[in-house]
Amino acid sequence: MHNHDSQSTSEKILERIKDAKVTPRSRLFFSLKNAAFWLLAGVSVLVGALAVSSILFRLINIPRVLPPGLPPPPFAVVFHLVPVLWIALFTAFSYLAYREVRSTKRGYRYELPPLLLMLLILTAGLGFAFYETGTGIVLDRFAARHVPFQRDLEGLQRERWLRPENGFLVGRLTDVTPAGIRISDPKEVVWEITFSESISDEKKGRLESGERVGVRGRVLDADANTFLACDVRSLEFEGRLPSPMMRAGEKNPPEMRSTECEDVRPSISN
Amino acid sequence: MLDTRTDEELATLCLSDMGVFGEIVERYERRLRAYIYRIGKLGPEDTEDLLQDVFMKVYQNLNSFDAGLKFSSWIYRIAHNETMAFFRKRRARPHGHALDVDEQVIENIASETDVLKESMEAHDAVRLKEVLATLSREYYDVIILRFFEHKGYDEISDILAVPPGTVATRLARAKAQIRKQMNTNGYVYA
Repeated sequence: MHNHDSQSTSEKILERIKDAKVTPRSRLFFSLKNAAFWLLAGVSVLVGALAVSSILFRLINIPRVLPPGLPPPPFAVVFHLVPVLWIALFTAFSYLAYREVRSTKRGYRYELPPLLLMLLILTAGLGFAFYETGTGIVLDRFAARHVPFQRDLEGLQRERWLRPENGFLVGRLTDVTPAGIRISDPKEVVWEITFSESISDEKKGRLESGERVGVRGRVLDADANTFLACDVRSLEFEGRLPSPMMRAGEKNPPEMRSTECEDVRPSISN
Repeated sequence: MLDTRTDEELATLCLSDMGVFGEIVERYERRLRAYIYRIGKLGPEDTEDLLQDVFMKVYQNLNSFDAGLKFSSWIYRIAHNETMAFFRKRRARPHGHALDVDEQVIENIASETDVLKESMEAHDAVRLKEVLATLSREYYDVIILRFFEHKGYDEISDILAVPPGTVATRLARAKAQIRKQMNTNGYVYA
């Protein structure tokens, strides 16, 4: 039994260590702890990069969802178009990555701006690589099926383009002839579409069966489902970097065009 | 024999011979007791208990000592974290600051804040304590480490686990606040 009052601090501490049978934690424990922080930081960057690939997918494909020449869509549509979920995930996981790097052995020494910049470049770079492999489109479709309030771009595109009375049609190309095309719209209505004389022959040759296309023009006979096309363009989503959009538009120079598409021309001439 | 060893060497020796740890305790107990008291203003018993907890933690974590750091920075960091954890556990803030403002401290602060030393000395050191007591926690911590514990910027960075740039910013802002408060109190600037 020791007299605690007369003991020096070092004696008291050594006695406490002995009594509590305290031993130094192993070096491996600390190495694993440090590695765990780096691993978590890596996972956070990875998740952030997946979010970036979906953000890219959404942003790149917005022009394929919104028909040209219409007034800006209502807020509800804009809300569903903007990749809110993915931006939130990207922000959250970038912050987590930052916190985890800061928690590593020497992480506290990194200044905030260069560390954040480095993490953002890494996340964006990886995200771009993921997008190039088609991950963005897969994730976006998965989220639309499983996450509340998420809508897929196909649904939004259908909603915006299937308006024959306004001069817009969307559907899958089933037939292509020199005089016109046949498409099956999302309601499985088959439309016989005649090319306007304004559409250049060379551009007509770019159309291929099986592709989802948007048609701009006007209804010729609503009962017979016939339509005059002034512009036909591919509405297939790009899972990767967009290739030049397949599009059969009006002839150039404008003097070569007929008057058939005059009323729809201003909005599609570009 | 142990007297001639560096702290870093002692830390390595402790791993194979627990008795060597007593030498580390003897080297740091006075400094850490003063530091804990300065940043926490605890009673003697609480300070003593906390000091023992700090050394227990140091012993337990000896293998996490990074040879790239100064041993003193590492042990001060543990003392700082344990003191803050002590207050978190009690869901309380450190109540006030206990400062031993001697002439050296006055001289250091006076020279770094451009306040004339003679001017500061003309007033009671209690006034300086009052000014320091108005600083926020993060500014107060850097002032204590810089002027009372005489630590360099890199050491303060290692102790508080913040980037060196942040230390410099906090120190500059803390000094600006001290200068402003001194100005209000009628001190003369160099």
